[in-house]
Amino acid sequence: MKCDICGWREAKVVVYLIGGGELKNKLFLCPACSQEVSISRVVGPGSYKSPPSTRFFPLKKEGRKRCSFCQWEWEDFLKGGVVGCSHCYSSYSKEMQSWLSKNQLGMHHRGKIPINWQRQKKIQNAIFRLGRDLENAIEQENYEKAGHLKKVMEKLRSQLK
Amino acid sequence: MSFTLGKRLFSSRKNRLLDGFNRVALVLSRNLARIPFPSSIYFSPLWEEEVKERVEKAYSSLARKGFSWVEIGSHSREVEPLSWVFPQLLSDSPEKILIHKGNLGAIINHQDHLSLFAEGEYRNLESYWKRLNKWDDFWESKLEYAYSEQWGYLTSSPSRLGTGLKIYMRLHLPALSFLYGEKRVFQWFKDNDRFLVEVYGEDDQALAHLFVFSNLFTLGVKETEILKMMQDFGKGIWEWEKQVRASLVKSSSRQNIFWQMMERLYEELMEGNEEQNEKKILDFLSFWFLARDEGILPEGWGFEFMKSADLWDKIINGGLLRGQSLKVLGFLGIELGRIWNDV
Repeated sequence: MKCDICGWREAKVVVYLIGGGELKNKLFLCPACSQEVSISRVVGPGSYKSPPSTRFFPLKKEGRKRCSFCQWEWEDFLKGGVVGCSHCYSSYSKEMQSWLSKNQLGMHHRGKIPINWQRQKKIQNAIFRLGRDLENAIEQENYEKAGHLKKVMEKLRSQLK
Repeated sequence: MSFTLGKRLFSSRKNRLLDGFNRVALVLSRNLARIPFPSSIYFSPLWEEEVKERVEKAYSSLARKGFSWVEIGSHSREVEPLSWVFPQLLSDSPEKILIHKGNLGAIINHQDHLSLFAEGEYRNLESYWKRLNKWDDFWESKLEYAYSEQWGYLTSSPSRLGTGLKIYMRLHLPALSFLYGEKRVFQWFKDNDRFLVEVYGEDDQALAHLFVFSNLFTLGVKETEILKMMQDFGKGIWEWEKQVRASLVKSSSRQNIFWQMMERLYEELMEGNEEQNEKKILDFLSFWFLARDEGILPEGWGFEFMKSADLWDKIINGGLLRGQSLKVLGFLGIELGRIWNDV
């Protein structure tokens, strides 16, 4: 069964909607939608009676390349000049590079970097470095050091989103 | 003809009006990670609520600092000063929100999840950027942005990809339009391959000789470089306009041609129908301000009282105060009450 929200991913979560002690309805959601969307928005006041997928997620024609996340087609971009989601950039990276080479000054971002992103990047780099140290420590049979490094790595991993 | 009313109506507001004409707006496009863009047909209304909810959480600390939360409807007067930057703001779907304090703010769910802006007088570009950057830092600390190492800030339109920074510069260029002709001036600007130029009006017709310039590139370029490019570009155009104005002041033959054109415009204005007159009225007023600003308004010249009254009557009652015209008239510093009082 397909997800009631995105309408195309496989549903793996079932939400039982209970009112007055009775089962009123069921919502079938994929893991991504169940985490991203507030269920209160789906079932709150004025909630949607028919499955959301049929009302808000019109089906696309089969057999054409589309974004894996939002199902946006490259033709949609060529017509309207906009993309559907941030994943469209990776889904159409080849087409996008060709378009950007004609319409932008460069192909790589040179401006401001989000502070959170910088922080995450630093943590990832630190984990990578510690991983190498860990391998060396194991090779040298320095298990005490290896244990310590493993603990530090786990701590850093927990800070990653 | 005589122009007695005009002198009284337009005197004493010179600097304020110039500020009203020449404006600058800096807009940063930002989107939340893992949520479709407002441009997507899959966006509304589920995600719309999701974005609103997340923004609302961040807003709680802003309310204490004097920021206001406005649900944008067709009668939202708060968005009027922004209409030249976001012309599609009053469209029905999706529902948009304006969070603002003075000329600093954010529009939620318009093209991108967040359009952070600072808008104001043309000359304070750097100070606006500093404020906007700080404003962006605030939102970034509260929300996770859609960002990629290669592409930078991911935006609904790839034309804003990278820095997401668009600088809009609106300049009032009546002298250039008078000397070279509006269409030719517009074409020169259009031929420039680094900046985008739009006219303040429809069908490539510049109402009141207002031109809006913006940077074409956002990727592969730093914010400070965009700022510098726009500053230099704007400065160059404005210097050019000033030179032409100076030559108009010096040359009496040019002034004669100018006033002949004004008289012709005025006659056409009184004869034509309202629809044809819309642009003519605004252009006429624009030229009038040019003459007044440069001190070439001849002594004793002005509108005859009755003719002026006819003109204002056409503007006010002739269905001309609508849409763009209303906004342009607003920029021209004309307010309904004041016109009636003066007349």
